[in-house]
Amino acid sequence: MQSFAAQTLHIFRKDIRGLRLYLLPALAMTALFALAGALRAAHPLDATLSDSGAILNLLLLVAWGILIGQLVQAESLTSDRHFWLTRPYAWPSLLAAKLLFIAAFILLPKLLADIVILAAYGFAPLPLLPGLLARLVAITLFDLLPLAFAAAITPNFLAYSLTACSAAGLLFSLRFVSPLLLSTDPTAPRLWTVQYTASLAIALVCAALLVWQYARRRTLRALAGALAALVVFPLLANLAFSWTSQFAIESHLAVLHPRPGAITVSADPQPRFRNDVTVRPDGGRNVEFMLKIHGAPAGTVPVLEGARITLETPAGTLTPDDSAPWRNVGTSTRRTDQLLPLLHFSLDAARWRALAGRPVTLRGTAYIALYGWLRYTQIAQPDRPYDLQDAARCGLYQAGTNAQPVLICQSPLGFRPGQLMATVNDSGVSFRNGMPLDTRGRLNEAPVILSTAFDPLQFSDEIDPVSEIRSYRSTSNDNQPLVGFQQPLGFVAVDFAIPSVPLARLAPQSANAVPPLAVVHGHVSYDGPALLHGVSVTVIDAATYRIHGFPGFLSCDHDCAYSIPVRQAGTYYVVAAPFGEILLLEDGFADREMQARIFRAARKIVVKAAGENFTIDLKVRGTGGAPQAARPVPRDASPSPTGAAQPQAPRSRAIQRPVRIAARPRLEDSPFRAQ
Amino acid sequence: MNGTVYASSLTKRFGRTQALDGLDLTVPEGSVYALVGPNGAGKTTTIKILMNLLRATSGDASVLGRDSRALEPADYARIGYVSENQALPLWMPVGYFMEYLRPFYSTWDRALADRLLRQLELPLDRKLRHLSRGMRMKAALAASLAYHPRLIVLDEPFSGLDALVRDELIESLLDAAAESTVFISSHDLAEIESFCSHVGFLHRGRLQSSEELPALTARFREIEVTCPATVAPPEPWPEHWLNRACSGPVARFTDSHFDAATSPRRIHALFGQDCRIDVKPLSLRAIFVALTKSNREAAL
Repeated sequence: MQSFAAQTLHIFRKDIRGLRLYLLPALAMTALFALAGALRAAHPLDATLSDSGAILNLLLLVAWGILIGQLVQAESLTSDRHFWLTRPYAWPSLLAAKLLFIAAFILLPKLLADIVILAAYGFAPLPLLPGLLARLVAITLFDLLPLAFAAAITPNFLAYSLTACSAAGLLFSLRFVSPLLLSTDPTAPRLWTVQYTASLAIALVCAALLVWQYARRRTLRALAGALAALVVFPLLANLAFSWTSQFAIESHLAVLHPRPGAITVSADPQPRFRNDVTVRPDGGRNVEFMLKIHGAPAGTVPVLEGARITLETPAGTLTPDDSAPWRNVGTSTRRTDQLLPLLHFSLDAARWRALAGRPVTLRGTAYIALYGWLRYTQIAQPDRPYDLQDAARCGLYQAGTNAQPVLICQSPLGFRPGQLMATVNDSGVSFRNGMPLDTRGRLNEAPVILSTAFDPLQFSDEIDPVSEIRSYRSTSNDNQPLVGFQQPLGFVAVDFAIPSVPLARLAPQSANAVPPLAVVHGHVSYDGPALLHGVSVTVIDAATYRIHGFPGFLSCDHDCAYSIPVRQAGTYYVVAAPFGEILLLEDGFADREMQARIFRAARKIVVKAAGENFTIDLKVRGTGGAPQAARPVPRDASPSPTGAAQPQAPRSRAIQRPVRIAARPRLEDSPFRAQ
Repeated sequence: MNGTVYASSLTKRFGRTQALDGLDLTVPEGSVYALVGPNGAGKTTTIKILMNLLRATSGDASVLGRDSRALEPADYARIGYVSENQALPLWMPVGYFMEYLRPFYSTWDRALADRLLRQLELPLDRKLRHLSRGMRMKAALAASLAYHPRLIVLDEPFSGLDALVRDELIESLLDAAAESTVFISSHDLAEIESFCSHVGFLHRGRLQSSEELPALTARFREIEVTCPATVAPPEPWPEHWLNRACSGPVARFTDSHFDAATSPRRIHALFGQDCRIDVKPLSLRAIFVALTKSNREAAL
């Protein structure tokens, strides 16, 4: 009889020989994954490389799935005909041989590929090794072992493939049972408590059942156990944790615990934008109401993450349509340079009528995250990355001299919870009349991401070792934006009561309820760079320069049809531009040159009476075709944010203004760090 | 539990189908035990339960003194199992197949393995996938004999093989397994008869008979009784006279309890002293057919 180790190695060597036809494609796919990652690092603006990332991740998973299926079913556990069953195989050796194979030919190559990719991006792999290993553990637990289990309970490869797809389908369908569990809605907050408990429980049950199946070969019972886990644990986790209970856990774990009553919430006495009621097509109302948060500790920025609301009237109490607290808030929807806390809720027609035009008392609980420890890094030169402490690495990249620069931030092993802020020195003009956007001379600042999930574990099975965020809302190419990162330090639930809110008197603005007066339609052709991913067509009021109609993003390579309803009489410009430029136009960040280019091709229409239709064909020429000219490197060199001496471009006037610098304590002391 | 293979009240159900119905079986050590029976009698099910490939619905079974449900690698190292429908690693060449299995067995006999490979004319470099069915069975048998197993279990090893291959397999088996217990299920009764020592007849999940082959063949005789006039069938017929038929002056039947001293007297007593009795010995195949026909008639 062989020893455990000898038999394990013996079976392992047999599998290498027997599975070499499946092994080579899987290794080649891993190599391709590494190569694509390295190329992506070298060419951050290459849309083909960027787009191929997700496909390669999927293909890599498929290659692993095929390999694992063949590996496990080389000694089938469900058959009573397989030769190995009556040979002196020790099941621990057999299982160990399979795990060794997975470690040697899936995990180790993946680790090497990750190191190659991280090095190509300029991240030192060695300090990240514990995180890389943790991610490999997560991939093993959440992806590879469930695949191995599926192979262990199925008699052949076809059945295995169907089982794996069915399990994925079942998990997908659970989205409808548990909308937040696997939601791909980017605006939905991540319920890490639910995800961790459910995923971990399922993964551990799968791992235990895999071992049990090797030991006992009780296929039906193992299958039943896995199905039960797949259904029961997500439901139990959803019952156990809600958004509010997760908020309470986060509050408990956070480092900052403000004194009770220190933070208060009231109506904004001088709202920067008008509180608003819009009419929905079904007669209901959408309400936006500006709030003011007082008493946040010095050095912190309060961000409203959610709210529970009730409307108290003399006739009784009403609750809005959607009770999910995170849906009831937002920042101002009118593209501003600040994060303004805003209640956002809906009332159906019956509830709106029940208000009977009387003032209401807005009562509820505001869930506030306190962000702090803000640090800024200046992007002094384009086309090279700058370290943003240990939170991310950001750079401003440009496809060509006339192309819109893109702010790209990357982080190894995912972004930590927090807010990434891009503070740009805009050229200071609005598209309307060339006046500075903010007469107080402030920098325009907008959050690039708003990650509200505390997620202290950051235990992810993401395939790609580098996470990336692209922001097209950057600035003109002669700018030197500041990029900042701040962390959630505290989570506070504050009860509030705002009396005598005259909801019915707020101006009801009809949205789709008003039938269109005219329709502008036609075709737009586009030959621009793939980076911008198409065009948008916009109808702009010629008197106010406000955007009247916006059909949204058109993924248009050559020729696309568009149709925009116009609901009010007036004079309008119909303009078309690359998608990113429309965003800048809408945000007020477009520079003169860009505005001129957009409006040069604009077509003017006058809408007078109902029933008018305008057929307008537009042509947009790509703006990023020309390669960027090499920039002269100045002679003086100053320390880079990372400490190394780097050539620095001349500072613009705006950057010489005082810059907010993070307050103490040091970022490294934060418990929210990923590593 | 004094046999190499032992089963007691073994039952197995597949849904509504009763594959085994209280099977009691003992295979003596050192014997070559043939388990025979018609299709669906439960032979393969019995073997799979003994090899712990299937779980019995109830009852006990042991192999080499160990509960069959608890067979461990060390037990399998003493068992050679070959089945007609065994799934072999088809990607392996014959030589690699033998080399792969060798480290699993501390008793692996390289010389014996080489001899078996030569004797069975197995091409070492050819993959199992590319071998004929007969050649695959040879490879499986060689890989099951090369470590001197104490128990060799063969499930329909000769099924579908030509006469030459069958002879080669039997020759190899007898050469290599002189000290082993052989438990074999087969339809090929003529081949089995040439080397088995014990025979068990399985019918509808029950063992109808289990005894040494000489005793079995000694008690089965085909009897033909020829009388001067038309035969009057005895009423009732003795129960152990099977497949009885009368046609004019001739009566034929199979006596399953023939005794040279007493049986002729009994026949004369039932048919008359002036009748002539012809007694013919039966082959194992003929005994099997007689038993099967008799069971079928009894069922009708």
